[in-house]
Amino acid sequence: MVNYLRFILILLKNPLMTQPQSLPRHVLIISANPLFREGLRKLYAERWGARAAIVRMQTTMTEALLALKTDHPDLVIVDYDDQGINRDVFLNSFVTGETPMQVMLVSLKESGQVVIYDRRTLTFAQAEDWLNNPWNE
Amino acid sequence: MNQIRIMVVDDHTLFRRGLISLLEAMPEFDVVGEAANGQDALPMLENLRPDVILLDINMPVLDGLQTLTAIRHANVDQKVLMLTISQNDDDLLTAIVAGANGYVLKNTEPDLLRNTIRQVFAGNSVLAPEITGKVFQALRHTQADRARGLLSEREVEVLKCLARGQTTLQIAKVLFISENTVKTHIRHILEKMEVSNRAEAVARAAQLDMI
Repeated sequence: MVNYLRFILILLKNPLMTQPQSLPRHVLIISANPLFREGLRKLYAERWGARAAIVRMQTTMTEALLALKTDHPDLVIVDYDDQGINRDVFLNSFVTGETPMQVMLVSLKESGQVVIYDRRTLTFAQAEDWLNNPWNE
Repeated sequence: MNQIRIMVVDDHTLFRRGLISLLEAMPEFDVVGEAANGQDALPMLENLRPDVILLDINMPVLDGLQTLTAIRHANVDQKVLMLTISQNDDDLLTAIVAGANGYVLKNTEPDLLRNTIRQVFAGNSVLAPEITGKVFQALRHTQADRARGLLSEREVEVLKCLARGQTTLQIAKVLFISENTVKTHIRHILEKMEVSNRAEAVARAAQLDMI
């Protein structure tokens, strides 16, 4: 019998580096703003190089939710505006999944804060190890 | 080819860095500086001497409208293109009055922004298509307010009666005044609205949302 615990952690410092994985990691950008979307793609495609590939950029909620299921991204950058791309709708979908995934929630309307979620699936044994030092200190 | 020197002022770091990355890939542009708010940007302008400043509105410390005002007070002739998510009428009109050379939204396409920067650099004033209608509407309201200010309350009442198609006699009865007084009001209305007959007055009033 396999039992799993799911952990959603907030505010990890180093996206794409939380656990060993074959390269390149898949990144999905969800944004209805072309300047922001294209700007991020260009900036981070250069910075990440071969470590990650931006596999898709979606502009609507429907496309985004579909891409979550089909593309299995390792990192999703969500530019929510609560019109076309709704933060709560996205999060509802996110919390029902179990595959490892990191999510960055950002909004052009707010420049103060960005929220990062890290979803991992661990066995009970791994969870026990993790609980020994959950803050990685 | 002389490159257009650009400075980007925006507190949204991810947006600003991404935008700079896009602009740097366009050979006609040279991004000479960046800042996260107006207070940081202002002292940099003299040294960097950008041709075009891309200026966000909602920023801490010194926002885009305050920064624009400071730039114009300093008699700096740099072109300022507002690049914002704000479609607020007040922001838009304040920016235009304060001397912005253009106003575009952050949801614009990169190629459209590219063209807009070129236009602004060339000395043209540019508005995003989505907000041009707002400017026209605001101008109409301003004209209507001015016209309303010119007409007395009684004259506006007479104008509304004219719009309902009432004759001089009918208006006199409704407003409990003499026909001669109605005629006097109508003459004043025509003079103040700079039109030559009743139909034109009604048409102009409707155009200005006065009735």
